[in-house]
Amino acid sequence: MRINGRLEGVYTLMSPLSHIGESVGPDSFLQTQEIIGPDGRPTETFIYNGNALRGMFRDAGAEYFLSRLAGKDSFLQIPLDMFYLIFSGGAIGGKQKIDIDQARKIRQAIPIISIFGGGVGNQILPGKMNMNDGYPICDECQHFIPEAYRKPDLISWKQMTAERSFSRVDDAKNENLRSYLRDDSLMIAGADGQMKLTDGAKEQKKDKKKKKDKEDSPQQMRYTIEVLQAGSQLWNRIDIIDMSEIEFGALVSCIDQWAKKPYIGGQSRIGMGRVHVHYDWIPADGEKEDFIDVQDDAALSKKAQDAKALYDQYLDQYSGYLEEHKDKLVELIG
Amino acid sequence: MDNLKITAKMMSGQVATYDGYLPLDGILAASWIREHYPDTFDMPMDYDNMITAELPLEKRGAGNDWYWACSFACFKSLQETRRYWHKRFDQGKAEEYVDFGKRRGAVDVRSGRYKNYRMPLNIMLIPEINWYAVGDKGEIEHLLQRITHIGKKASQGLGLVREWTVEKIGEDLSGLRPMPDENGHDYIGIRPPYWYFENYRRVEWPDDDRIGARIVSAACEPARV
Repeated sequence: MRINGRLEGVYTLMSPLSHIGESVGPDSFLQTQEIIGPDGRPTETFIYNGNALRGMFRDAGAEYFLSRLAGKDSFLQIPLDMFYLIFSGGAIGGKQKIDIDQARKIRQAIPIISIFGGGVGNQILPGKMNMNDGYPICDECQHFIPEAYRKPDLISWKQMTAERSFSRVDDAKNENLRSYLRDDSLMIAGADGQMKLTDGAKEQKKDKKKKKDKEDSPQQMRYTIEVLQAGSQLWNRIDIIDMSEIEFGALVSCIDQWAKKPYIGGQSRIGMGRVHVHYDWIPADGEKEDFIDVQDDAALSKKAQDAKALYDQYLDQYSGYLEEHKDKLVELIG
Repeated sequence: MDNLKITAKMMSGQVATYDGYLPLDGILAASWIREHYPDTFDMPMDYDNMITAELPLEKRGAGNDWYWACSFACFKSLQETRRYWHKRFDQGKAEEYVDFGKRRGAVDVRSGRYKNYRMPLNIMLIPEINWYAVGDKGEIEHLLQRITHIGKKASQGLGLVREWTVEKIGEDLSGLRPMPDENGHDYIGIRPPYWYFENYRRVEWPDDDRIGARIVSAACEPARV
């Protein structure tokens, strides 16, 4: 059975989102792109790159894959080339040869490579899904966001932005912490506090003075990040192409693993980019149904039990596959 | 077989293409192979067993110079922009998951196999793309159901199609494409797969600005003084 269709959903920002397009000095600005607007003319809007979502889910899926292979209370480390293939899509190179059998074996053995695609040896394995951009649910994108995900009285994405400024303080200049800092100048100067000079000492003295001045200048700054404000929503669509049931389960494992730390964009270390996510599944020849709901403390929807049951079915199938082929897979990737 | 106009109404309008060729018979051939040879579609190309798609289009041309009666993409690009995709070696994850064995755990990300990339993509802003063909309307509509994206980097969401329409028209405009001509001024593929060297022929382009690729190539010509 081959699965075709699309996941459509909404990311709701629970904290501000940073997704940098360009930087000017210490200030960074949101990623924007020109799109065709509702009036048929080019217009600018914020876009969360589909490639960023791909990378995020690929990393999560790879972590799940390796931790599941290792089993409980153990840890699996793999060779560099295999790591690069699973986490980053690999690279092509080497002898000019096409090995269909090898490609088929890799697809069957490692579903996450099959769904994301990658470069193996000298051949490219195409992926099985198209990860589209995340578009803000805003006035500029209203004409293509499906009606089910739209809200009344849409505002411009520009009204959803804000600037957040931060300070980086140089604690070496904090007098209260000064006592913890080793003063190298004392060590150079000697016990009597006088600098000991030798031949060519003037130049040395100059160099040391320059170095000391540099060290004395504060290593601190004030910087600003343009963000999309908490409460904003992004619409996203993932197209699924001819996946097997196991591959579809692998995709679900990616989203589930990511949902344990549901952050997108940059600066998650200071809490930015925390999201709630809801995806619907729209099969190519069927009706829309709830699929996955990511809330604060659960990867799976508490609200949509049907989505949970569907998810568990696929995840169990994938996990069962891993258990069954564990030795073979460790050998293949090791 | 009818004279047809096929239209792709684009979602955001961002299409990644450098040449603007986007031949529809190539896109239909991919869909046909997906349907009839699903086990080969997502595999590397097997050059010893090349598959020729039997498309619901009229075959034209003589001998080995045959081609499908289907135009190249006809469109007006409202704007050209640039967008970048990035590939980055994940040092944090590598510290956790890589077994370097007896090797020194150093990875060069400035060159070689693990190089980090910031790659530009040429993006054309196109509200809709038209093609003209002589073929079977129902069969073409069926093959188009599987086509969600057009152009490069569909995996990253570029070229997303909002809606396909196929309509019968009076005039045969399938000739809005490069035609095999031994005295032609260009040398490109004439049928799918268009990148395959054995399908390359000398061709002549019609002098018609409805063809998107003509506008692209005109923009690339050096200014004449």
